[in-house]
Amino acid sequence: MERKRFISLLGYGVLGMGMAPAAYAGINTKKSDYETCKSVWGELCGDIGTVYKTDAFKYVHPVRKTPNVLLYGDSISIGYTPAVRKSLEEKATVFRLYKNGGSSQQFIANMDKMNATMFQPYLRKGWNFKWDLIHFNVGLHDLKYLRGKHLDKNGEQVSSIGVYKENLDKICKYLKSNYPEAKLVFATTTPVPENAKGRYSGDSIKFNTAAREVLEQYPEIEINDLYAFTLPQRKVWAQEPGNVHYNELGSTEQGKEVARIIAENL
Amino acid sequence: MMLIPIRMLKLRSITIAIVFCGALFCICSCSSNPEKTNSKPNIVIIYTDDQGYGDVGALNPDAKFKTPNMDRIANEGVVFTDGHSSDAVCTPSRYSLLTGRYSWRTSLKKGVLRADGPCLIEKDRMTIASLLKENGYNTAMVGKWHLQMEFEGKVGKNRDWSKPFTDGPIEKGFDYFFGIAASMNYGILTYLENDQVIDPPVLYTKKKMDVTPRTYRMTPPYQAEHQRGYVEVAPSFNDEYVLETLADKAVEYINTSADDAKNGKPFFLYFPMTSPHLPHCTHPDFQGRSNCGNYGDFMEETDYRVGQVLDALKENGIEDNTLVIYSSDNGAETNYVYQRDTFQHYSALNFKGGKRDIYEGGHHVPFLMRWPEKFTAGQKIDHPVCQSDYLATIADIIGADIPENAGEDSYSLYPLLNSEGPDDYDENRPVIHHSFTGHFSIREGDWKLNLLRGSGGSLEPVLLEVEPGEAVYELYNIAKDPSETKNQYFEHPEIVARLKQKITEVIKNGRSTPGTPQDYVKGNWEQVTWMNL
Repeated sequence: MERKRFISLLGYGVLGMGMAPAAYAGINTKKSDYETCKSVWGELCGDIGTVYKTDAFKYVHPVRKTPNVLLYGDSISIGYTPAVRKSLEEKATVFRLYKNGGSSQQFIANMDKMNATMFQPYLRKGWNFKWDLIHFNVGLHDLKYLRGKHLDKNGEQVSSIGVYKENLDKICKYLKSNYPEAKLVFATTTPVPENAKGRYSGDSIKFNTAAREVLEQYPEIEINDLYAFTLPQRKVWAQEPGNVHYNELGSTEQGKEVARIIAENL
Repeated sequence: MMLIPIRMLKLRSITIAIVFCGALFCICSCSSNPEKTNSKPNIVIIYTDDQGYGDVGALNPDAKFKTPNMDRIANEGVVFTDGHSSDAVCTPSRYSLLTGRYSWRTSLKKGVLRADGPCLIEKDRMTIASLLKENGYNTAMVGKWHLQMEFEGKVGKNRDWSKPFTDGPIEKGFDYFFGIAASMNYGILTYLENDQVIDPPVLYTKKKMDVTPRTYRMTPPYQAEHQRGYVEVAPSFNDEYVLETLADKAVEYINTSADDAKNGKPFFLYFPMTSPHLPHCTHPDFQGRSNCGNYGDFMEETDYRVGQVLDALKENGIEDNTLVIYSSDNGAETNYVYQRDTFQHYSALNFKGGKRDIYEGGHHVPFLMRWPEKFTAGQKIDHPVCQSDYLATIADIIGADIPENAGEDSYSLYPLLNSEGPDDYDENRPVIHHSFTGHFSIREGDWKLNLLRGSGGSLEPVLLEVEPGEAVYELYNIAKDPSETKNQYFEHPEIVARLKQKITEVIKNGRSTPGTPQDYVKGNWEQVTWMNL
């Protein structure tokens, strides 16, 4: 007992001198290490940044006292990620999924993979924060038709409306139970133009209607109607007629809009 | 606030009363001369069987069952995030835990032992129990031995259960023993006390496969005649009550030893539990309680039993000066796949493989220590460490010396834990891993070199035939790639060469710690392909 008391007095004495030995402070989570995280993120992303010719996959590191935002989505979101980051500079740290988010069927597996690769305790010196906001979309890769691996309207649709609704419901439950402290924002699926390869114009409307039906069960999940925002400018913003992707102007404008909605919800 | 150290006042009288900056150094030198004779803690080692790193709530935020008592040890103590059993299976890990020496230095080059036979711990070899007994401790073991002991006669022939068995725990430094011989699927299924068989195991049983999904049971009815594949069992034995029986005995031992402990004679209790090893024979009170099937139920019961021991320490008022060490003998059994796919519970966290494998899932296990009087709660230590380190750590704590021919692979972890700082700890010390097939891996800092291709255990491929031009070993950076996904064998030939040299020395010297080289069993060693013995 005497020794214990001595040690504890010693501790206070040292503290009193302003020389607290930081190495022995009670710590439950470790500081995340920039170099480790950056290198592991690089491995996780592979060469996707080069493939998409974008810096959307560059490594971003959490900043103390700055909210952490996750963008989950397909190539449309890859397109607007840099603009969201720029608009929210110093207001939020904007992360995105390490890959194209694909269809509703891949959502949970993709999130689990990122979680188990980047976060503590899975990665010992990895991320140790909680998401403040998750902005997510699945749809364009659900409503598409594939023959084998190729887009083809004579092929099979990836998810029927029923399957899409089921999956989206699972996604909402998953996000709510795994990230109870995060604000959730669902972005509607952007329009499919006439004569698109493997996708029918008008299917975005059907899938967004289905999504709204699911989201009625989750009034706390905000909806960012990116479909409605994009529709009037579709032709000007399209990379080319019949292409679901957007040019730099389109992606930038979408990014600003996404950033505006995120800022409102932080 | 400036404080005058009490002890210095006592020792050096009034002249020290003036406090100045240099006093800090005096305080430090003073505190590095601990009164070890007065502060010898009681020591309890709780050792689970096949529990993965992800099977503790405090270590796995997404665990699908609750472990409040294990969490208590973690939260009130120190978590080693990179702690290893010395092997990926039962027997060799238990050998190393008790002796501070890798088991592959003995005649056991791969696999495990059974219940009946000569003990793997050599005559006169120091164990934690013999060390502590010599240093004035009461010593006891309650639980599963699985290092073999010799019973009179042969199974199905000339057994004589009235005779004491030999080469068991009480010959290896334990004053008291209560428990079972080996795993529940190995026989001899009866309780043993000191060197006596309590209820003669005169009946026979075998694995019964149809009880619950993905497991088996050894339940009654038992039969009178011996057949191939059957193990000996006592008529009174029921696997569902083993954990309860063992926990009750452990609590009873703590209750009866507490008085001695408070009067200067501390105790050492080695408590190797039989769970969550197959069969998952959960006590009826715990069946159906968890949200993770029978495995989750069995783990929640295991946690409850751990709590009984912790509560006994508390109720006897000896919690603060008791060092509790908590770990598991290897990673999760292959049915972690069932728990993962059915309940999304990850027994091996994000590690590759499980029990028997050279990958992290095989031996990267929960590794906790709690000693309220000395260790700052909430510490996390990331150095790779091994259960073989317990012997030197405990010797360091009680101020005992270890002779050259003991604890050859035991590094004291005490410098990492006490307030004097980690200067005395060699951060580049090697940790050797060993698989079911007897293959090796060496860990140094962040790097791990597996001296085989494949798992060497259960995960496919077990042993990969290498084509010309392919990597012959697997090199991983565990800090960045804990799931062992990217073999960096070709990227870092210099690290491969360095680690290969290091493990060669560790094997050849008969020790991994500094000191005089020691002998070991060389024999026919097919797994050591890269060096001449």
